[in-house]
Amino acid sequence: MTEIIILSLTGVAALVSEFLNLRKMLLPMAIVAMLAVMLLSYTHLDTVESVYGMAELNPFSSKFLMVLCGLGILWLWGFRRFFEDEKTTTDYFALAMFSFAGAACMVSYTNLAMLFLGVEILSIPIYVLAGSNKTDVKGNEASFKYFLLGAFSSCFLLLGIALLYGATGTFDLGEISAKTANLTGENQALLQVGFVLTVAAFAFKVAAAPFHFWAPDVYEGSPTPVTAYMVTVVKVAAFAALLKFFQAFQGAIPQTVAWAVYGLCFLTLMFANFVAASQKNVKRLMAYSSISHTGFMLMGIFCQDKGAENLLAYYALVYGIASLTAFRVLWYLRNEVADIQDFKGLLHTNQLAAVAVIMAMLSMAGIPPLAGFIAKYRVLAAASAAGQGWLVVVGILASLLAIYYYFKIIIVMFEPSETAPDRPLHLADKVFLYVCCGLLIGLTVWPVV
Amino acid sequence: MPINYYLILSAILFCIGAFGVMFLRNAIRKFMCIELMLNAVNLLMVAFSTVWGQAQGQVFVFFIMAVAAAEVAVGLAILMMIFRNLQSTDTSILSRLKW
Repeated sequence: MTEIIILSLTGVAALVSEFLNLRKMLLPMAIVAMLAVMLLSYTHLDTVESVYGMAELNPFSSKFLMVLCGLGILWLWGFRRFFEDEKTTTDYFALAMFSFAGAACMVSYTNLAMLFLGVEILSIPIYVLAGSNKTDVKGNEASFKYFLLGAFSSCFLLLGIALLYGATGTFDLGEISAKTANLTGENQALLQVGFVLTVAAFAFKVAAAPFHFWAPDVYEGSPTPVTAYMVTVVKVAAFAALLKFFQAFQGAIPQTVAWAVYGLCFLTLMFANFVAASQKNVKRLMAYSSISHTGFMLMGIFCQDKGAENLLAYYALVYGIASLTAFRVLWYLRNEVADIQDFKGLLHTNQLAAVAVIMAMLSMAGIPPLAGFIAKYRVLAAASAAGQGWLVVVGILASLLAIYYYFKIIIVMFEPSETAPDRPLHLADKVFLYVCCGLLIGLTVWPVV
Repeated sequence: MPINYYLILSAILFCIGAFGVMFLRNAIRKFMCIELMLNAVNLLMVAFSTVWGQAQGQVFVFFIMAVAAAEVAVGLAILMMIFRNLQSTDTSILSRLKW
């Protein structure tokens, strides 16, 4: 309860600071608020607190809140220049913090009404932030597409919820879960259709093939900091919510639906990696890479019923850190459009940035000794333990394909540079890159979750 | 009246809305189709709420209405921004990013 209140109040404080002239205080305040939430969640790691039957702060939600806050702090720190413009700083902060509060609702919901509200609170500020560069036509387009598909997928989520309600007569996930076993014919059908529609809506949100088509466009058109937010915080929150939803239906899913769900995972892994290989724009490439990681995370969700949250939280944390690093360097190189050639000779002009990108790419490709390897290994081990050998094969093939396009970026950086080294990195950004690299290695030795 | 009638009516409304969002070109019409989809869900919620004899479903409808209003406010603002830059609400000109 306190966690959600703190995050919402920070958003309100950001709005108030516009006329109190406290703009300079916002960044420290937001970071302190997130640290506070992180500590609070740490103390909640083995307690259960129900919030009026709508949400529940339990070990599950606390783990994900800690991951979210960790990524949120890194995001605020790495992309703080995004908030620097005097005219918009309070608006952006308020939008980001409200969206973050929505993420907190999504990871802790127990009532489907809370899930719906969480999804909307998370998404609506992002529609605005995606179009925050008002004169950029690409940004406009990305914002519009994100809005339209977000609203469209919300409709499916709502229809799914309505059908689940029709089948069971309750919005409470625990009660729905208890009732799934003994439903009669008609209600059973309603429940299954409702389940499929809700999972499809989630697939939209996490960008799983074949519901992924908006992602590359939106990621390319949005300002880079907002893209970084989408691939980290939005994705983690959506995955946590999907996992919670999925766990409630464990055992109640008929075989045909289960196969459809595995098919989703298979399609996402294969499609994303084949298309990514032909991309020239780095942001689009990262979008397809993010879709392929969605495939791995789905595999983790579908294959493991107990301990899936540890697996997923770890994967999301590692992937989030790696993509924050990559997007930070991308933003340093070029503000908007980004071609792979932008990375040319980076190793000679700015070694720290280049090394950080190399580590991020290697981690995403799943090459030891970086944390991405452990994350992928744990997912594949879970799939094989669940008796889904063919998914393991697909996963390994997908990783091999992925190495090709991650190395495309790395190789370009080794080429001789044509331009002289330009702006040096700010000290705070250097610290950011060091911390990210340190975490990518440190998390292998000490897997926190 | 059996619940099936409501189910069929909502399904039809929802499908009309979904097809509209996918195939119409004008952005305002797309918005209206999204509203249609949401209202199909509202109808279903209220119908189920009556079947179960509870108020939960009807309260949910209020949430949907409030959120839909917030969403459309943002959506129309985005559309205004596009209109200022491109002087059109036809979504087919939004092709700078490949779909």
